[in-house]
Amino acid sequence: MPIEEAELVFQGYPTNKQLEIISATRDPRKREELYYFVPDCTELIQLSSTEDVLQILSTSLGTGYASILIPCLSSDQFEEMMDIVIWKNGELDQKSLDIWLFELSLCDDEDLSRFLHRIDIGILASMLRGRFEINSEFLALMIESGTIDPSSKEIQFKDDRSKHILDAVWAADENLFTRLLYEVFELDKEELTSEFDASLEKAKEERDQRVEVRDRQMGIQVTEEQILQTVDLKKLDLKDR
Amino acid sequence: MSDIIGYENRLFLAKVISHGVNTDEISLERVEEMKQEVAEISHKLVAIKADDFSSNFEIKHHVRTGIEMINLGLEHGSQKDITKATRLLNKNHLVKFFQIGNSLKKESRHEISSSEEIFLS
Repeated sequence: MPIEEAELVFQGYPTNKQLEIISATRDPRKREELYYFVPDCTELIQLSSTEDVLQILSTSLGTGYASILIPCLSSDQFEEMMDIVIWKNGELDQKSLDIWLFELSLCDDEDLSRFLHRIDIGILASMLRGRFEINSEFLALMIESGTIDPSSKEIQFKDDRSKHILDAVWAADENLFTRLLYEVFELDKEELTSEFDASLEKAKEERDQRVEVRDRQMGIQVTEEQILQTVDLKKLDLKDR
Repeated sequence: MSDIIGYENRLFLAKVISHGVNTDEISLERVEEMKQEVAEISHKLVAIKADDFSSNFEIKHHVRTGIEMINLGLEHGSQKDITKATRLLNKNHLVKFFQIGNSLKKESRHEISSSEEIFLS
């Protein structure tokens, strides 16, 4: 069937039928094509399960093409996705952070700022640490006094993507920008390092709670903690009667 | 559960389930519960371990790993005694066997540091 004809047939179905067809298409590339059968796939994406959309995004992560679909995600879907992709074995995964930073940097400012508010500041700092420098003897003072912004000549970016992200943070919330710089440069090192660790720990706890709530809603009782837990093989705790 | 039995009929887990169902020691209701438990473990394993969520190969690998770990844990917990294993399957959530299998694998990895991380890499 020619594509134009297939699009018309697909568009003729009610939304729930379209979602049924999409969900039944297991090949993520073919599933992605179905979303493009409608003029604006935002609603279909947002009504799809996060896992299904994540599978599609994963086919193009790191190429820049994922950023075409990312703006279609709802903020909740984005947060759920982050809760899955940037954590591996209960730890932050730098490789995933890097890939997602790249894709996010290609989104427009409005979408980017919508999503940035759903990423914990400690995680955001992990994404950006080492990607830019501030050349000033009075780094802390400049940050503290709010005299620095992404266009300041003292900031040297190592890549465009981090500049784009910082621009978006600045445009979205100046206070967030300042807090982010504190985190990135670990100012008052002793105090802030422990604060940073605590912030990451808190982010992880909050993420774990969100994951558990979502799992319970889906009827999943097994927890991530149980999967990662090892047992004392000499003292097995198995019921036998 | 027929999927698991069909998936690898040499697995101890599959033998125990067949035995339990044939002798009425494992009810069909428990079989349904175990299907759900396997699905939950696989789901979590994919979410925790997968690098490329678009790769069906990788997802299948993690699902297979989950079943292999449950199998390993059941073998260890029952000392390969099929009667004991049947009782254990009835009384314990499959995640318990997964944890045992996973712990065994980690322990053997420590012992044989040069061995490849076949399962939970």
